[in-house]
Amino acid sequence: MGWHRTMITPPSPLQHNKPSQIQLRQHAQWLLFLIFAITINMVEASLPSLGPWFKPGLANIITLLVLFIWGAKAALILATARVIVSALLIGTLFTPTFIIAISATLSSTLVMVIFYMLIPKPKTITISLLGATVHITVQFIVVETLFIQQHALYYLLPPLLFLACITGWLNGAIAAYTLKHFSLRGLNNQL
Amino acid sequence: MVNPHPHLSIGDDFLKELRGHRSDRLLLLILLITISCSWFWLQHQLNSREPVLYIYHQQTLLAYYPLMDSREKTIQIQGELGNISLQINASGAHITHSNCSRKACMQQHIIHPGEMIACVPNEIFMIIRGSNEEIQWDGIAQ
Repeated sequence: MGWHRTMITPPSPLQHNKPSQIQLRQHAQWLLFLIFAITINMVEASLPSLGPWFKPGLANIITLLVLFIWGAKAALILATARVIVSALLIGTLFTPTFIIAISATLSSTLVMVIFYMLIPKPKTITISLLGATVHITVQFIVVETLFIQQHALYYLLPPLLFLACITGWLNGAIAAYTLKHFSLRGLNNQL
Repeated sequence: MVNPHPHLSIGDDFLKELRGHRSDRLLLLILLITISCSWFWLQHQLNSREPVLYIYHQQTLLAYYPLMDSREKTIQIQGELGNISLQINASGAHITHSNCSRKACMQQHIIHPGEMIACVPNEIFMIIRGSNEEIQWDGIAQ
């Protein structure tokens, strides 16, 4: 996918000095992505759990799309805003669930951003796999350190990491497919 | 819109993405090997003798009960949000009542060594471990 680096518009959608019409459009499109991510997050939260502490992380597809379209800053702000707004709407702000979610999301997005910048030709599946495994690992570290304080908790980590690999791969493939179709329809040029 | 691959349907196109690249498959292989090794190592750490249920509040061990005892018992545990009711019998242990909002802890039923229930809002953690001792007691509360 050769469009990765060449088609990303350099100005971030979050810049504030005299926005042009293109920048305003970028702001609006970024907000649309944010609303979509929050919706996915809330739908996921309302669905019956696939197991304790396990979610497919579908909202991460949007973070991946934003990272590959607009870059690191836009992706980090979107991921943070998504967790905060979702927690506000669900009513879990500053609860243990929120603390676990915000720390895991920030760490996984940060790792995705670092590898996106380090790898010469980053692939969505590679970045998504890394994000998913870091997300679940950080969740365990936070729960163990702040709430449960039992090392035995890590017995549960390998099966959940295995599931994270599956969902990470799937989310990466969905993101790659979506990006390809954005590219096919010329939407990357608009963004 | 011009489809550059007219012979590919949407399904085929997605399957092509799903296969991933060589670097993706290599990363997945490394991750799976690491996860499998750690999983086997953790399983090896667990003793397969008489299963005993250990109940903790943060780092404090509240009580431990042998699971081979066929008598059913319900115990109350004081968590951060209130009392938790735990039912223990020969077929394992499960939480029957908790004041936490999501009740995820109530969906779990544990019986084998290594299985655990964690109620994060109540900061209560339960795990079944194998015991190295000959068990001749019903339970010990601390």
